[in-house]
Amino acid sequence: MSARPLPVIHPDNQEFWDSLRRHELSLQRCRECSEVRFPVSPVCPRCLSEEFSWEVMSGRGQLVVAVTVHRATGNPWWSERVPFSVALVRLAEGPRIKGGIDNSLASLPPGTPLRVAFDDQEEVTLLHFRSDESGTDARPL
Amino acid sequence: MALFDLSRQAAVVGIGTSDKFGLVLDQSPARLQMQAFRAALDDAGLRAADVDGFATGHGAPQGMDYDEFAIQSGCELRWAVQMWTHGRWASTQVAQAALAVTSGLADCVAIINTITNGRGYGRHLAALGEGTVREAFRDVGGGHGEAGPYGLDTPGSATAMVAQRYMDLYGATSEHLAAGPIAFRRHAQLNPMAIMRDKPLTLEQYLESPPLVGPFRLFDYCLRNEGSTCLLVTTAERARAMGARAVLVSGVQGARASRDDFIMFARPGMGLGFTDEHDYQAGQMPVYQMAGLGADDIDALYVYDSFSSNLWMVLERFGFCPPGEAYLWTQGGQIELGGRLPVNTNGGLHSEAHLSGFGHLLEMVRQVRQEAGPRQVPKAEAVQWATPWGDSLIFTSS
Repeated sequence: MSARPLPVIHPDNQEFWDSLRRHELSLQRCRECSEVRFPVSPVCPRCLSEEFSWEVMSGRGQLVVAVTVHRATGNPWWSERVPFSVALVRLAEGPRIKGGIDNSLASLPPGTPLRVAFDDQEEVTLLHFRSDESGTDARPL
Repeated sequence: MALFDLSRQAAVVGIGTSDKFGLVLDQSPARLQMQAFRAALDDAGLRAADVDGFATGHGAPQGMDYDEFAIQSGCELRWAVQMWTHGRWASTQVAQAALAVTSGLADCVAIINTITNGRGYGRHLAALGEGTVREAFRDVGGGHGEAGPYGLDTPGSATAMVAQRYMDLYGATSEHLAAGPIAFRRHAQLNPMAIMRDKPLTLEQYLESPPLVGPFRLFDYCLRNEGSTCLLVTTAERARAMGARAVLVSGVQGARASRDDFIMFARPGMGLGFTDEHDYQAGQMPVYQMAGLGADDIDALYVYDSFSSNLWMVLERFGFCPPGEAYLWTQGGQIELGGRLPVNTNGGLHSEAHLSGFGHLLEMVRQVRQEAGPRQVPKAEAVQWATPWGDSLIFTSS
């Protein structure tokens, strides 16, 4: 029986994973040019500044695309957990980020409003997107 | 302005493969590799002592590291390059070899790539390590868009997301997606080395197979197998002196990457990267500029077809058709032998063998030499390798 494959947590990305544990989604905002960035990076991809602060995101987003895995051929831990789904979501603040999503939401059209939720596992908390009935800022995606 | 023009300065003078390609050959990487090397030397009329340069993608344990090759082949290498993972750096190995021979760093480079796997000989070499890169767990995710912690941890599952996005954007269906796998399977019926020879594929068979991830069914995936390939590259001048049936390296274009263009099997402008999507236009492709040709001059196209949707990405990235039209452009036999633009006449990774793209490059050499037998494209004077991640090669006869 293989163990759940865990993210590789190291000093640069520690706060990102810690924030999920607190049921917040924190990303880095550049102190020079104000760009909010993902993935986690020691410098701003827009201006290369090393100065940043962690900022809690609104938790609002929109579906870009999702797929349901019916047969998992990577890490064996997943093969007994099918079907499961993974989504790419555009956060209201701009960055695009992947996370889990309910199978029932995976076939919704691009642009569907979603809300960040949290999937507490023993070792780590993961992102898991849920539907957002109150979402009003849908833009075509 | 380039300091010198690389176009038509280097040539492929020999090609060779392992005796067979197979799902499980159960022969060591060294054995397979030396079969391919000897076959290429015979093809070129060269001796091992003529080879002083070496290039490979990944070495041990799936293949051989450069020093293993030198020790076992007896070659005295004075230039070697060993890259990272397989198909991603196929054309770059040829480009590096062309640069090495034209700059005098080597006289003749053997480009050798070997794949063995854990079901085959790899099980004897498990103690050397898996030979895989766990890039799905990097902060930026995997090179195909994998997100390891969420179970999107294989190139295939991540690329299913690309195919689904394309279908959502443009209305393409599974019937459209089937055109590539069916064409490649037809071509494989004409290739004695193809693993899927004598196994025809119909649209009905394709559609009866259940989706495995997103829209991808079994036939949207390439093969996983064992085998080896070798290309010998030297200068065009030396090739002429040898009287060889030289195939010229006429155009080269490197791998591309940006925050919108890092997913191996997606073209940019689909909203799959880290930046907001934008319209994509193919624009000017340096590979054509270097070769002095246009997309219209290409007689056959070779696409890295690890997954079926790669075909759409390549056709749109390189401007064979406008964005969002490749799924229509590929219908009605247009990409088959006899069609507008034959693609992967060897059968590709889908139906010949997964040879990290080198099966395609060897077929390009055969086509330009007019030695492809029943698969021969009538006027194969210029053939192109092109990948979803943007690198490219053009081989020509003159």
